[in-house]
Amino acid sequence: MGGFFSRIWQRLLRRAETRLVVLGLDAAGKTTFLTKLALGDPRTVVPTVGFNVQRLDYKNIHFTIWDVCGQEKTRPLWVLYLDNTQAMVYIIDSNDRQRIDESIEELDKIIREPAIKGKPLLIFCNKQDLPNAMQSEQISTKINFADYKRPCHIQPLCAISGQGIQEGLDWLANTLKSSQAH
Amino acid sequence: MKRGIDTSVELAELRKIPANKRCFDCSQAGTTYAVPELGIFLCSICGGIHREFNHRVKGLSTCNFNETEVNKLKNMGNEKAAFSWMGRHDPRVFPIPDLKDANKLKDFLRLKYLDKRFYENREAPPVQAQPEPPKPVEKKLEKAQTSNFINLLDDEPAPVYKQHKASSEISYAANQNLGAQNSGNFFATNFPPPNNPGMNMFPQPSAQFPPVNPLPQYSQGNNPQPYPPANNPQTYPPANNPQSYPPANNPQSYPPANNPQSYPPANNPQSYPPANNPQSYPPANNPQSYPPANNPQSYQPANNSQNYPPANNPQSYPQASNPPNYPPANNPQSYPQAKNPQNYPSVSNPQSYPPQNPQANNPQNYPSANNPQSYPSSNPTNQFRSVSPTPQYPPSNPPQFSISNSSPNLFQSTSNRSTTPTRAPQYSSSNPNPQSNPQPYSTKPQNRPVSPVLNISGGFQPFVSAPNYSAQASNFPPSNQNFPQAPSNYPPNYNFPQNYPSAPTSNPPPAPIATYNQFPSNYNYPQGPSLSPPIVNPSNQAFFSKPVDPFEKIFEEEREKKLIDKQKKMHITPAQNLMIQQYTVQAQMYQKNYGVQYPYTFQQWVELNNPPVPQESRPHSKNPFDMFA
Repeated sequence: MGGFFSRIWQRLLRRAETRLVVLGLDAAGKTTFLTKLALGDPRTVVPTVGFNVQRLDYKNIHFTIWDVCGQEKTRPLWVLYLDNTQAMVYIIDSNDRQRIDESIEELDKIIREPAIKGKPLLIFCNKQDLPNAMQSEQISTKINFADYKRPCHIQPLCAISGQGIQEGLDWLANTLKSSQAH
Repeated sequence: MKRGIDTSVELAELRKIPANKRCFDCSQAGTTYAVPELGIFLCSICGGIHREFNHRVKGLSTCNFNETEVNKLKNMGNEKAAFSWMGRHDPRVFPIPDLKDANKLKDFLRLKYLDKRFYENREAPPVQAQPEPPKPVEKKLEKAQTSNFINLLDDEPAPVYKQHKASSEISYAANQNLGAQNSGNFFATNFPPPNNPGMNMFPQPSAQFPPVNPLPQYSQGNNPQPYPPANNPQTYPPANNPQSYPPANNPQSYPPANNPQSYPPANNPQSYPPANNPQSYPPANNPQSYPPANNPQSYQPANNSQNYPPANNPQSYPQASNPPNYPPANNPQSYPQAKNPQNYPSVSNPQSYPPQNPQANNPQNYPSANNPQSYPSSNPTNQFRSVSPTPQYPPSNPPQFSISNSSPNLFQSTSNRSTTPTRAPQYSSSNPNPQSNPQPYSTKPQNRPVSPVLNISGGFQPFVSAPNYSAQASNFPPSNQNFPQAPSNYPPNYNFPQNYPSAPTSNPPPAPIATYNQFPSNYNYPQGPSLSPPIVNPSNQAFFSKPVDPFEKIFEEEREKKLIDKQKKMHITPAQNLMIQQYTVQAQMYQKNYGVQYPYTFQQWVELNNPPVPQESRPHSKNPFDMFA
């Protein structure tokens, strides 16, 4: 009986369960982003081996964020994390100008996966605080958003200070809400 | 995934180099990452810190390496990179922090890489490191051995060899020999004249290393007494100490310190180190990376004379004003010049004995992975030493430094020991080291009854002085009947609970302290003053000599009442009691046998018997998400 009421209660106050996957090249700032998001303080993180998972409630949406290792040989494993995800977050190290093209190539590869077809894509241009960082507008010119056929958003970010996290997540939450309403 | 030339084999070979097996920054065993731009191998934590510095950190097993990156790693490596990145590092000023202290390590690495505080450009900067072509090492060395002349006017600076202190005297002697031989040269004017007998007392080191001839060649000076004596060949030159010996192939290549032109600038990549001396640094496995003395004519004598005297009796010199200290009594034959101490180079004779810039010439500790102390550096600049917390000292006098360094601690410890109040020693649980809390009674072997008493703070304090010792002082030493007292105070009809055997004769189950209070106990702890037995030895005169303050007596009684109240509240389990009993017996036996008070308190004794599980020196992971994984 209690279970019945609790089920009703849950249904009334149901929070959308959303699974996010954070991808990007190595040293792009994925783990730092997640650390800042979940724990609030940026700290020195070691290069990820495997993945990190963190849960987060934001705007009545229950995020489960997966931060996957971005090293070169583990990028083929990104596909395994794409099942049952509602959105993808891609982080680009905008300070590393040599590897921006490589990063976008990887994005082009992974975006073709059928598991995330039509799912919104949020692109963070990280490390905007550094002087040599490329502007997000410059990066957005390199990305062919028309091919992606999904809601996309590109957002400058400084993961250490947290600047830009809220805007990106706001966009993501609004898009997810609108997509679930339909 | 892109696949170019397979470099995994080369990379695996590089990882087999012992210097590359340890982290470049924290020297932790096991490297999983590499920075190909710097050519270094790192552990994961330091790799994380390097990523903050925007270095390109690549996983050795998770990344594909280019050919150029492998070449960079091959040409640099951890061993060679320490050479430049830690070139000016003095571990006394900036000790390498522990890996556990991540923030300190981060600050240190920030100093190291961003500020480049320890960087010395001995080679091409590692960011732009190019594979250096192998140089004709042997030909140069042949020239170097044959040429005894010195050209001060040469543009190319001579290589500087920073030596261990024991080798400096040899180089000094070599200078004197050179000066004596080339007496017509203008060089002789710059350096101590050859007819100074004090200058010729040391032999010229042999070109081969180790010196085949135990009696090296003597100089052509006016020194009538040959040095060293034939019966004492081992004391000098130090053949047993290969690292302190000057590089064998270029024994005469030490430039004078007072000649600024001969000092190579910091940008000269070839100025250091010596080439074909595999026993000293550089390592033998990449000889081509260490350019030899490619300009043998520019060899100049060294004046590392500030390292004189030799290390075995450093305090006796330089003391020209104190001639009876010289020669030292233990080694009189090796210093025949003691009869005329005026000839001996002293501070008052700076031209003949020019230690101009001692610290710049001889930073004695060079950090490298294998042999940090014997590694010299040649940087003449001295920027951050002024900020060093350690006292400044000329490195020519290491004993002075060591004395000044160690004496405050010594004095502190002695003063503490002398000024500690001998009234009532407290053995608190927060002070596990019995030596740091010197026991006032430990100076005399005493027979003192030992009884564990609970402290107010909750821990056990077996040795607590009771104020009413004098009433029971006649019972001293206590017999076995009234000692130990705690078990004898059990009520006669008391039954042990089933969890504990009623009379375990030997080795009760070890009960760690943390679990003591968790045991339920319906046992009423006995009341009364018997819990505080006589502790203080009446033979302690220092105690009796003090006039007893009546107020203090009252206070102590109150204190004891509080203590007993505390004990009532405490639950002492039978197992605990047994441990107390065991401890008291052991302490008593110790006192009987050795005549000294048992050095451990009860708590320390428990910790000794139940050592804590050794924790890993390195935390398993710094990953903040481990708890969720």
